[in-house]
Amino acid sequence: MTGQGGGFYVYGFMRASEAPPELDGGVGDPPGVVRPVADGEVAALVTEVEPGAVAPRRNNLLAHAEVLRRAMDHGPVLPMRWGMVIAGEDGVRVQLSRRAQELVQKLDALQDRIEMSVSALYREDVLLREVVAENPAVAAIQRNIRGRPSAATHFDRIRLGELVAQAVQAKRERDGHEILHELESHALAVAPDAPLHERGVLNAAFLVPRDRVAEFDAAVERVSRERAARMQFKLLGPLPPHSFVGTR
Amino acid sequence: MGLFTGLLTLPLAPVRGVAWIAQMVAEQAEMELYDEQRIMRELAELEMAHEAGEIGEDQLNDGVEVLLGRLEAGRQLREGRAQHG
Repeated sequence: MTGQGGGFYVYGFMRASEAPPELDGGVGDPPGVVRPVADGEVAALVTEVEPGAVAPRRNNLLAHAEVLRRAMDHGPVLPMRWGMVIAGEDGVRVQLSRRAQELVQKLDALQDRIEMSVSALYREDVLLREVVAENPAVAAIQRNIRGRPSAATHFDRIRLGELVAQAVQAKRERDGHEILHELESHALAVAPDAPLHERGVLNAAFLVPRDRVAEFDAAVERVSRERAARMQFKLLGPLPPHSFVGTR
Repeated sequence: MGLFTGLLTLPLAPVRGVAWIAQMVAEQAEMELYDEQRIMRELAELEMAHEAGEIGEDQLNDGVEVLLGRLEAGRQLREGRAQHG
């Protein structure tokens, strides 16, 4: 680390006129104070930290996300990646002035838009039951394996694994597509990502106008209620629109 | 706000694909181990495994520490390369 002054942990950027004067619960142990450092129209939300003080631990990851989430109550927020420290308050201002135009543009584009993240997992017992019921070949291999020593069924078990994986993939494509289709009419844009779990159905971020959050919420509730016997849904948000920053 | 919203605010989305700030550290010659997108994805997978009841709180915390350590190591490596050519 070079330069004078302490390190400044950066959470993200806001319009200077909207940035909250102070937030608690920042990174560090004990949790640091978050304040804006402004240059012209834009401000960075920062916590002053000792060099190396932001340990790579989960509490600091949570603090980063939580600060951004609370800052959103005050206006649009451009999130920074986790763990970025800039040397000295002047260093922060230099970054701000260098990026002023880009930051203002992106903040304007995010005006009154938030991100909602939706993911769903198949319930384990239901998934296995469906795969067996829908795929006679899986059931046949299962019967063949039963009661025989594992050395004798090595290749059967490999084949079984492949068939199950293929069957789950096919179901995921069908179900995931259906869910995306039902939800996307309530959003401005959708950013689907690969599921995060072997039982994952979908994992997608939606860009939603702030005044339609309740509508989107209701849509997710409906979609999840209809599928409650087969899947568990998780909805996160409103979040800063991480998945959409830089795309337009 | 509806029933679901804000109920489960987990930390992992915030660090996905923030491409526009990527120039802040030199990004050339990404090594797979230190690839940030990949690390962030592994973090999200870890969180999901915890939610699915496959790993406990301690395992989750340890795993996060390892991954964030890799993130930092990767950044230092790239910074060092950027400074020393």
